[in-house]
Formats: sequence, C-alpha cells, structure tokens
Amino acid sequence: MSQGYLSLVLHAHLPYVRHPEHERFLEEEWLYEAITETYIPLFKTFEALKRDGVHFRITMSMTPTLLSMLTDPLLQSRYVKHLERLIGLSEKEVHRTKNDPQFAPLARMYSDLFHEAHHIFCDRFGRDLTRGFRQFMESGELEIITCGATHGFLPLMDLQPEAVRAQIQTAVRTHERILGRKPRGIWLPECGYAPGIDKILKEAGILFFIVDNHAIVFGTPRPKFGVFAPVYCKTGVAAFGRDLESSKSVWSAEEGYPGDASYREFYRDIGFDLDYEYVKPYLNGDGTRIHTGIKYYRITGNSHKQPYDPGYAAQKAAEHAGNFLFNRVKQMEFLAPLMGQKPLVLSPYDAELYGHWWFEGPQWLGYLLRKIHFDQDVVETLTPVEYLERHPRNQVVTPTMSSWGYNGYSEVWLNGSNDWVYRHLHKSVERMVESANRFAQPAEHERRALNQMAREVLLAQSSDWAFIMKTGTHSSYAVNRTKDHLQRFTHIWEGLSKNLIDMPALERIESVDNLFPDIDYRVYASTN
Amino acid sequence: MRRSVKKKTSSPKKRAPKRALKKPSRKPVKKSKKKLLSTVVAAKPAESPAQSTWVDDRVPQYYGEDKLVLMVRDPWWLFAYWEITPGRQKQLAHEIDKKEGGDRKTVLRVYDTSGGLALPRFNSFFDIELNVYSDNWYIDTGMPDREWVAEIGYRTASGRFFPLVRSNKVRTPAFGISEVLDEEWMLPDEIYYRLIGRSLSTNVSGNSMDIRKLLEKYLKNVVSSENTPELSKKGL
Repeated sequence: MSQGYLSLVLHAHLPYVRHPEHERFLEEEWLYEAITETYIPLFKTFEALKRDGVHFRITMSMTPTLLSMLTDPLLQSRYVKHLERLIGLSEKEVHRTKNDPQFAPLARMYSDLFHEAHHIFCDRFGRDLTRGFRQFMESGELEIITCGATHGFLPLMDLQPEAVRAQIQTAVRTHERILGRKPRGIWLPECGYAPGIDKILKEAGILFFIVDNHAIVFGTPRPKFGVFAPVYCKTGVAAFGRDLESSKSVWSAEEGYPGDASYREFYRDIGFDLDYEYVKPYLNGDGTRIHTGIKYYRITGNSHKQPYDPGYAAQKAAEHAGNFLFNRVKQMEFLAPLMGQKPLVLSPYDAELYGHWWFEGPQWLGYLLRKIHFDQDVVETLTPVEYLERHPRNQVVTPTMSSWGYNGYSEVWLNGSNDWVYRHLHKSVERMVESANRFAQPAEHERRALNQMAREVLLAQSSDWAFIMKTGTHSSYAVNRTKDHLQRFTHIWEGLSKNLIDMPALERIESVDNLFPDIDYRVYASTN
Repeated sequence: MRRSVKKKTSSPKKRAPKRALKKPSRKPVKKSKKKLLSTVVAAKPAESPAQSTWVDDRVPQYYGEDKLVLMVRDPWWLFAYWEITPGRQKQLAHEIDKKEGGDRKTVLRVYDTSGGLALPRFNSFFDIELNVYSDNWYIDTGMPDREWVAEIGYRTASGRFFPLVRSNKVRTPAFGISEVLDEEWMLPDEIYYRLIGRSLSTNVSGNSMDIRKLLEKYLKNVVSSENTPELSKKGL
C-alpha cells in the first residue's frame, strides 16, 4: 500500500510555425530539434519502461498546434531532410574525430542517436510520431491532455468568453481527430486561469485542469489540503495545483539537477565551435551559425570546459532520480499523517526541458520511474483522472486568477513590449463573433472565409508571440506573426462584409495557415 | 518551448510605466494588401520598442470608435487602453462650454465598485490625469480582491466630471490565504500551516503572513516557468 501519489505532467508545446513559401526557415527548426532531442527520447524512455515491465503513469499535454505540426506532411518531409543532413554531419564528425579517443565515442553517440531517430520516425511510425505516443495512451500509461487551440493566454481573453470557448472547443476537436479520443484534461496555456473559465471547460467535457500553486492556496474558501488534493470548482471541474518543492528540484537555476557539472553543456555546439566552411552546409539558409545538436562538452563549472562523459552523466542522472524519490518519500511521510488521507504531489514541467535543454532529462525520468516501481512502496505514480476515480469526494474551492509565469499573473503577456496586441486581438474577436452571429447559413465560399478568419484569430492569439516579444530573442518574428495573422483576418473580413471575397488570396492563406482543417467558425457564435 | 529567456525582468511593482506614444493620427483603418503572405518583414526602426511594434501598415492605429478596455495584470495592477474619436471629444467639449468655461483636464477615473455595484453607484474613485497623446495606462490600484470600472472624461475647474467613455468591469484576484473557512473541511491552524508550509519548502511552519511572504518569494524568484533556459547557462 502506497502512502501517497506522484503525478508527473509534461507540457509539450510549440507554436504553429510552417512556412511553405520558404525552402528553409529558421523558426521551423524548433520543431525539428524538439522531435530529435525531446519527443523521440521521451518515446524511447516510455517504450523501455514498458518493455521491462515497469508500472508507470505520466500525463502529457500535446497541444493542438504541436499535434497539427507532427501530422503535417510538409513538415514531416522537411524534418526527414533535416535529420538526414544531420546524419551526414554526424558521419563526417565520426571521420574527423576517429583518432581522438575523447571525442570519437561522442561523435559515434550522436551518429547512432540520429540513425535511431530516423528509424523510429520513418520506419516505425511512417513519419507520424503521434502514433508512437498514442500507443501508450491506449495501453493506459500515458494520459494525453489538451491545451488551448493555439496556446492563447485565457485570462487576458476572458472579457470575450467566445474567444475562450473557441480556443477550447477547437482544441478538443483537434485532439479527437488526431488522437482518436476526447481529452479528459487540459493544460491551460501558461497555467492561466481566471474564475469562469471552468464553465467553458465543463461545456467541452473536460474533467480537470492544472494550475499553479497560488491558484489553489489563495483560493476561496481556504483549501483544506493546500495543493496536496485537487479541488472542485463550483462547476464540478477539478483543479490540480503545482507542488513547488518537487518543481524546484528540477526547475530552479540555483538548485535544480540540470545545472550539475557532469551534464551536457547546451551552449557548446559544433555549429559555433568548428570551422565555418566545415559546418556551413548544415546551417540554415542564410549561413548564420546555429545549434546543430552536436555538443561535446559537459557543464563543468566556470573553468575550462571538459569533454562530455555519457557514462558519468548517466550515473549522475540515476543519483538525481534517487534524490528526487528520497525527497518525495519524505514528503509523503510528512503529509499523510497530517492529512489523514493519501497526499497527491503534482509536478509539471515543460516537456522540452527534457532532452532539449536537459540532455539527460529523459534518462532521469526513466531511472525515477524504475526506482518508484522496483525500490520502494511509499510513492505511487498516477494520473489526475485516476486520482478522481479513487477519491471522488473533494472540497469545492474557487481558484484565483493566476499563471505560472514570472510574478504569477499576467505580466509576462501584458507589459510595455507586447500590450499593443490586445487592442487588435479584441477587435478581431469582436468582428469574428459578429460575423459568426450574422452568417448562420453561409454560402460555401463564405463558410470558407469564416473558417479561415477563425484560424487567423486563433493563430494571432498564441501566447508564444507575446512571450517572445517580452524576452527579446526572435522578437521581430513574433511581431510579424501577430501582424500577419491580424492582417489576413482583416482582409478576409473586409471581403466578407462587402460581399467581395478575394478568392485567390483566401486560397493562398488557406494553404499557408492550414491547421485545424475541420474547424467550425460557429464556435465563435454568442450563446446568449 | 522556452528559448534564451532572461530571468530578470525590470518591472517594478510600484511605478506606472508612462509611455510617450506617437500623436494619434485618427486615420481610418488602412487597407494594405501588399504583404499579405509575408512573414519576414523587418520591423521598422523607431525610437523605442513600444513604438516600433505598432507603427506599421498591417494593423491600424485605431478603429474609429469610442472605447475603453480594462484588463487585470495582477492583484494590484490594471491595464487600460482606449480610443476616443475627435467627434466625441468635440461634442462633449461643446456641451461643457455651454455650461461652464475655463480649464478642463482629461482624466482616467477609476471606480471601486466592489460588492456588485454598478455606476453611478461606487465605493470610491481616484483620477489619473492624462496627456492628450496617451492611449494606454498601467493603473496601480494597490488593492487585490476588488471590482473596478473606469471612465475617461473631462474634469472641469469646478471639479465636475463629464465622461467620454466607460470601460468594462474587472476584478483583481485575491492575494493571500483566504479568511473564508469551510466548516466541513476545517483543520486546526497549527496543522494547517505545517501542511501549507510544506507545499512551499521543507519544514516551514508559521502563520498566514509567513506563508504569504514565502509564496511571494517563490512567485518572484524560484519556480516561474521562465527559468528553464537559465539552467544550462549555469556553468558558463
């Protein structure tokens, strides 16, 4: 009998980036890197656990934009090309380092990893990696939850409930189309919650959502068990709060495991380190030096970087997994008697932290789940839905408006660098709602225009754009994406309003912003 | 995915960022269709990031309407943006001039309407004097868990207020552990704060204020989602 539950949640998300108008596009590489460095390694971790008979439970959000990109034929074929270029580079590296005892095994490691990724991506799943995750969903180890359709930050939309509803309904529809099942839970984009959003989740059949710690701890009435048990909103939708103690051990820049000196250094990449002419064919179109994914050094400390030692790093990952489990056992043993019931510790992380930033992250996760299964019986992993099945009686609390961003509220997405977007986003939604109400029986070309308008509003709302504007890197890309979608929206809307739809332009826009093929613009219609 | 994120941000809690914005041109919506499919148009150089982001022919500066929108940034701060047509301003100025002459100031009046009040009923208000070029403002209310409505209007020398436009209603979130108790789910205080303390760090106990301070510290420094990329920089 366990004394408490651990619910690990990985949030896998990338904004929709697809540029058929360019042969290669820098920001598309976010997806390619994440496939090679995070999604495939996580898949391999789950598969190895299952093969070895380890009982485990993980919850993963796969956002509608990510699912759409993973199933898009153009991006799939571009990823294969990208990976094949990378395989070429890694083979050149094997040759270049063959007489170097320190670097030759590392070059070989990358070459093997990329070949294996190619095999998994192409041969096993016919380029559709969602099939890989779907099999764990079907066998019960993995609970895949959804997110806002384009990761729009909902608390800054809530003066227009139709905008929130469209984000949620379109997400549920996309999730079901690609994964074959309706989502039971949702990762609210940026954990952004405001009272009332739960009503729209309820309409969409969603049972639970995830919020940051203070959403629950500052909720009303006072939550009896803090974040160690979920609460029900008055609508009956359950809210699960983030545990800070376990989050800190992985997230924290000061104390987190990923900063350990034996782990691989992210910032030393051969794309920057080697002779320019040598790496040039592998850089993106304009020849700017970028990360290739081949990195030979470990973090080391502030002195001269040492070569990476995979065996030593793996040992460290196992040690850190042991430490994480030790702390969870202590935490459960402390909490269980105080509460008089089994505590639930929910630890959410950005999935891309695992593998992409923290190279050993997927390994750490594998070690952790093995240790939980084989070495102890205090802690048990489970999904939020399983918790609700076992413990259906929970307190009714209204969580406070909050997010998991810096300072805990809306500031990251509402500050001097990005606040200009809301004037335009709100206006587009207003026009979208008005159009959806007006066109109850549209002609075919009007229906297409309305559906594309809905896609453009959603794309303009991605919280990623406001986030990137705030952080500075790639900010002109984020500004351009916001304005392009707003402009495309306005152009179609003007045509629709004047009964002069510019069909060639509509077709071009449909072919570029092609996600959500089954979108229904009527999600924007007012309900009362 | 987070990329190259800076951990430190410079947004002090107690200072309203005032922005010198370009003079509103009051032009109607521009209709440029040239760059319909372009995504790699460089942002125009400008004096400040705030300006460069919105001076562009893909989005209009204004929409030709009278509108004031309030948004919640956090438990203490609101954000307002607005536009008021010259016609509306002239019309109201004319009405005021008929009643009383003299100076008048354009002010953003923020009403506390907590308790479900609707204007003209309110608990209290405060004014922020606006210059003619501003079209947005960060408002320091200093008060979590309250309801707010705002108006922009003219305040005359005699102190009378003539509204031009009214906002939507918003509510700032509560900050701190609720005083509302649910009898069916109560725990003795001593146990309660040990439990809540554990959700922040190991072996912390104390009272509501201690917990609140700790949580504030966490929210600001330790576990916000922006920290991730810093992890790898640690060894640099």
